[in-house]
Amino acid sequence: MPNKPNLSVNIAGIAMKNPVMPASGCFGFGEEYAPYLDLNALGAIVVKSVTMNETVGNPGPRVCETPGGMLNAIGWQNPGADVFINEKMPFLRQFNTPVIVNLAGKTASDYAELAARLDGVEGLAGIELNISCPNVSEGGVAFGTDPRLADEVVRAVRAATKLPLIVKLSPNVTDITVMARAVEGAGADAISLINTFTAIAIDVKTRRPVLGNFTGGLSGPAVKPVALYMTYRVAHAVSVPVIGMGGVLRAEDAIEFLLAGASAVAVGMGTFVNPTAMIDVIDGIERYLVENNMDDVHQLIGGLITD
Amino acid sequence: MKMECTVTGARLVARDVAAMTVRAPELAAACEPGQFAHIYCGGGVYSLTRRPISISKVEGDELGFLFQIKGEGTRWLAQRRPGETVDLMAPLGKGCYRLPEQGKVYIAAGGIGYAPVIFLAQRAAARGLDARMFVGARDSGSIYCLDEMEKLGVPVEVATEDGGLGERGFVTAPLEHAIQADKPDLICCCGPEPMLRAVARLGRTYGVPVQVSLEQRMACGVGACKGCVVPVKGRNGVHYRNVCSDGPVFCGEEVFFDAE
Repeated sequence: MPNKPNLSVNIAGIAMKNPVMPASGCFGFGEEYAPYLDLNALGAIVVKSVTMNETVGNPGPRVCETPGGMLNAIGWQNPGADVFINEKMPFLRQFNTPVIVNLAGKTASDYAELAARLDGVEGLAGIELNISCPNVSEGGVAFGTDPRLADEVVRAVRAATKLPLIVKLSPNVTDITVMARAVEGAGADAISLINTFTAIAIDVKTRRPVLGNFTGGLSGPAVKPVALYMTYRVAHAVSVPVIGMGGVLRAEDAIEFLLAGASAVAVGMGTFVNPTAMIDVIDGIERYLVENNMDDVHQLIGGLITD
Repeated sequence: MKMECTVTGARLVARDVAAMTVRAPELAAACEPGQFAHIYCGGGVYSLTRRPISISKVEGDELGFLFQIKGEGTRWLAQRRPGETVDLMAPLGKGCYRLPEQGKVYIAAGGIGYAPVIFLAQRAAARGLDARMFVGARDSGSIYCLDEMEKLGVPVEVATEDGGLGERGFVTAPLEHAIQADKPDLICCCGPEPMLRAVARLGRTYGVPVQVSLEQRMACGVGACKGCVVPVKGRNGVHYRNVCSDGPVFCGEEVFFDAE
């Protein structure tokens, strides 16, 4: 009987039991899925986008299924930083799993003020900066597509918090490595990618857009090969660790991201398909390591053979 | 909870409406009228996410579902046969139909909206309430399972748009006549949105509380993604609530505040 392989990773100073976490927005504040899986089993818990004040979000419909994926246009609906800190964090602190908050805003100073507000909150392990949301007209998306603006917002947040800082990149750019280098240079401790692709769906019966917001973000297995390639390129362009995501449904998908150079993976839509998908992914990675005589997940990370 | 349940029965009950029963003792004991199951429908290219399907009845340790075959996912589900299993998350929804302890309840259903109110009529009959059912559909081919009401001893009035069965027109007409003749304590409703609006308006006109069950495109089913929202009017203006976890049943006044 071989020893259990080591699955633990350290991302930007955040120690994780394993390299698997939810993608922001697909796991609420953890409590919604607590009846379905053990939150202690996850590498980290990444919560939904939080803004300084309550955000009501976009008119519906906000989601629709598309071939091999889905569109969403939620629009950052969340109860605001104070409710997150006072009502959501006490629940999350019960678990022996690092909590990463996804942070959103419209101006660089919004982001910096919010980061300062969250700095020092008990039990918070890190910040993921959402500069890539395609569903909010101001702020978010511009920061994620213009390297100068990205540099500005990351520097502002970096100066406002001591927490580990992960920056989430948008795929809606010509060359994602330009953005990756910009945020690394501005002080990001890690990079997560990808956010969703701007997309639309049309109802042929009504001949109108399906989503209330007209555009939404595409995610799911349909985007996985692109996400994988972008993860590969970014992992080879920067020296900070990369969290890869986009269409991970099962362990093989996650292993692909690890081989491409991601140090951890996030599961988004996969949780909607199967609420225990992350547990299956963790178990599957462990099984893969055992079957391939590896004793540490780091032997997988960046292990793509190209010769 | 999430569980694999064994299918005990599956058949077509109308042109595009399937009935399915599954064995699920824990769920049968726990679920309330208005709640739904989020069912895995094969995971194909066009049916990757789960389908929210309302619980249409509970009998012994079995749950019954009635659902419209709309696309690849529901077609896959309708093809499951007794002995096979289906993967479902249930019971979902915190907002259920809330029946009074006594009194008169009118239940109005349109199209596939009849599915969840069969369960409601079961509960109303079990509680000894004076319940009446009003069922509307496009044509007689879209009317199904009326024998369920006969078994429960709940009187039914039917309206079809083509007059093929019952009164010609919308079900709101016989419903309104009944309200005028004998005002109920509560109206419960499930159906297409224009019907829900019309019934909410009747409730306002005649001063009867209305509970409506809503449908919305849904992803997680558990309140995490904020995808299936409906605007509601609260003290601080309009905000959004989840159909999956705050509903699917809401007060008519709450969700149709902008009705003409």
